[in-house]
Amino acid sequence: MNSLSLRGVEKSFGAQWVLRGIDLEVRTGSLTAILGPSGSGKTTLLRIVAGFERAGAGTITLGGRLADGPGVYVPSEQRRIGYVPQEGSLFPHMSVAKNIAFGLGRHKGRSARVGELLELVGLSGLEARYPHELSGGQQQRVALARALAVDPGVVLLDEPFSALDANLRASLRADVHSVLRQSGATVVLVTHDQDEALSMADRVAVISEGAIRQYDTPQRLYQHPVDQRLASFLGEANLVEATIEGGMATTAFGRLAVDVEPGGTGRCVVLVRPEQIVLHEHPGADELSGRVLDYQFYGHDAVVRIAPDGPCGATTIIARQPGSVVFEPGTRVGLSAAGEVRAWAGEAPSEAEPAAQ
Amino acid sequence: MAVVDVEPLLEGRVSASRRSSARPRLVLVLAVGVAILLALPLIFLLLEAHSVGLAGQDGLGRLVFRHLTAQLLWNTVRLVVVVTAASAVIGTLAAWCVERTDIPGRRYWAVLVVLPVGIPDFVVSFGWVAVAPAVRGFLGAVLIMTLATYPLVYLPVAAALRSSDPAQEEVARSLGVGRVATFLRVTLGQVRLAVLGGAVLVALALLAEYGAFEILGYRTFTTEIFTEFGIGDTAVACALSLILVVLGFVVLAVEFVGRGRGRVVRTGALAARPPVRWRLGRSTLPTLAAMVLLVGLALGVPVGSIVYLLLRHGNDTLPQASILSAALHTAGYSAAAGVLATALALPVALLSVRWEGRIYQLLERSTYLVMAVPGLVIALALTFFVEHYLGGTGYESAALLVLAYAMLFFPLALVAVRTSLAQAPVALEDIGRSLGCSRLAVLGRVTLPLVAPGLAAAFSLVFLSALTELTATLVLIPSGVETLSTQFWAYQTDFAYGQAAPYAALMIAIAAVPSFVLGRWFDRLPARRGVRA
Repeated sequence: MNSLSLRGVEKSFGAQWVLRGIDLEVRTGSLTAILGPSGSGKTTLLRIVAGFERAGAGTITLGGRLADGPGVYVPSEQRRIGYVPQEGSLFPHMSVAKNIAFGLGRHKGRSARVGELLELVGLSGLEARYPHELSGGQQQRVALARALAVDPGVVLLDEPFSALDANLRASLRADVHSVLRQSGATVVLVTHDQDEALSMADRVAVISEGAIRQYDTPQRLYQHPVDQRLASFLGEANLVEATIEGGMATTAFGRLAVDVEPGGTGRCVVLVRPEQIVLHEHPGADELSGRVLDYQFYGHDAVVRIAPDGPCGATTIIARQPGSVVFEPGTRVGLSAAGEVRAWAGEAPSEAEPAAQ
Repeated sequence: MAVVDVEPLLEGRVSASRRSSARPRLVLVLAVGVAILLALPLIFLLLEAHSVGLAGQDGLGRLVFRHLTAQLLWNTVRLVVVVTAASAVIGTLAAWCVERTDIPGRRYWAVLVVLPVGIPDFVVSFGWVAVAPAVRGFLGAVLIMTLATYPLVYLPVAAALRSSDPAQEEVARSLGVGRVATFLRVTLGQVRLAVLGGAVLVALALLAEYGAFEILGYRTFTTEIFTEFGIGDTAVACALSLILVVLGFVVLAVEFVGRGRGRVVRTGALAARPPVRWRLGRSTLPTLAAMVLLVGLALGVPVGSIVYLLLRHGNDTLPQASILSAALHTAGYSAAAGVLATALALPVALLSVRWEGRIYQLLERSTYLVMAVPGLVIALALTFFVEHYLGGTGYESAALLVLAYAMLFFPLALVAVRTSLAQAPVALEDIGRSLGCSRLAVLGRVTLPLVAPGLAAAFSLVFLSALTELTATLVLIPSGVETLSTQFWAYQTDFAYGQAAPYAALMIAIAAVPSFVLGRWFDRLPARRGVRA
């Protein structure tokens, strides 16, 4: 059963195309992230689902009911959606309790429901506060409670954590994730933050230039991106040249297993993720060697950039290493790789072209 | 990636303050209706001028280009320029002192500085002339009108200062810009539109003022129009009115150019914090002295003068029974006008704030034109329509007078309503709708509460102004009824200063109460709610 289904949704503002033929199926009870750079059309997509904008073409089905399509337009207030915008946008003239109760009718269980939601988001006791008396994170929690109060068919989160500082963001993200899981709501999260999308979502739709590039689980997106651009967009990627034979790719790092053998033989490009690369302080004779360009320490691990000595299809190799070993810039190291890799037929891009952002 | 560059702007525009899709049909219809209603006086003027120009022996051209017209033009223009500039400076500085410095007793100043807006301009002149007969002519008019009109700049600027983002000033200071330069470059930038809007109100009010100039013996277009109407020369009155309307157009054109494309947008979190007030330190005493001087001249002199008259003529000024009924009528008409004008302003303001489009802006702008039409002309226009199209039904009725007030003071209501609407973000309405509320319910539960202070300000501005209205009232007053201003004017014209004084005193007293309440309410509001709507 799908709570939300988009078919061929298009949108333009004047002559500017923002969305071109979006298809998306969101399973009931799942958390789907729409990941894309700013300007990719993701916020517009969310606003169309919410009913704040009309789709130019295509259909939107919410809970099995057509909400937007030829001759049909269900206004926002009848869509049973919960919307949490970037800034929270609490009603400034209402207390926390009144904000949360906004969408509830005047029935008896109202205040009990408000208390329940406040407990769910961990803000019990703050009923009487006004929005300006809350921190940014608290405001977002109230905004989430307000959206969940109406028991929505779909909860829409528009970059809900981007206005918060990094520490708060991580903890609030975890909290919101568990709140959403407990509530059993179907959630669509719009974000430009990869960590946010990969860590929170069951499935991620990567969108750029108004079209969905890939819609998959976070693991498959990361390990088996559909094309080289997506590989570079999601996390760091080493795209190296290879030749394929019998399910094995021969690269400068040695022979590596390939996930799916690309059509044709001959020259290929394979994706080697930085954590697949292993560095040795003393390079062997038949091994790819290189010179350390720089070393960034993150505590849990470290990222080392290396200029390879021999040709391998990339001018710089990025390796993610345990933080326990330090590689000084200028040091000579040996490189090898382990694990399965993704392969595409054809040439590597002439220069590792940085994808959007 | 062409898409990347443009779309954030589009998204920002849609979510920040405007809707781009969904055509505003109902709002548009209502706004057009209001605009047509407000255009009626102009239509009358043109019809009348047309018939006069065809029928009379003298063409309109000869009436317009005579020597007297040049003299009136010079008198009017120099007064408008000098008084508008003076009011803009004084109003802005006073607003900044009250809102952004630690001046002692700022809550009381906030009320005292606004109070003169409630005192009729002709009462201020009356008060000054009664004690200082030398205050006459051009300089006298500049002094009196500046003191009477600077609150029209003060009110919007103070509101803008209260709601502007203090971080902008802090950023400027952090970039090495000094206090004075920060005020000039950042603070003034934030309130620029408010100053401009206020200055336009001042200029247009000056073009339409009659009573004060009559008392001061300063001839402008309005006094001449009134005289010509008095002696029944409709042709000359019409010709002069047309020039006056053209002057009004000029003022609006200046505003349109000055407004530019800039918009004061508040980015960042909705929760505001109060601004850091400038410590006056050693400047405290001079600043206090300046405030005392301002309030003394604008409020103290006219009020003192009237109190003096009351005491001196104590025996002749026993309150007549009629003063109570005059007061009740005045308050009733004014309150009704306040409600009506605010209601008329809502659709026009909604349209111009929420929807992009030159047509919508022009529609809004067109409604300001009514300010350039003297109350006298509005009153006669309504009379004309009632007589020609309604067979005289409703002539000299209370409803017609209230309508005239509402049209006359519509621009005041519009300024207040649109300022507040601009600060109720569309995002909040979107959320209201997503939570299951209909458009109407959202209006009642979200938008109206947020703009309520603006609506209250709109009502109050119209109410206070209508209390003091003289010219239109003289024409449209229901027979057998007197308002405070008409009775005052009758006594004043007969030089019965002693008998006029209690009416003047009562007009000031009635205007003072809502000003005081309003001032206190505005003052508490931001502290409680964080965001001023």
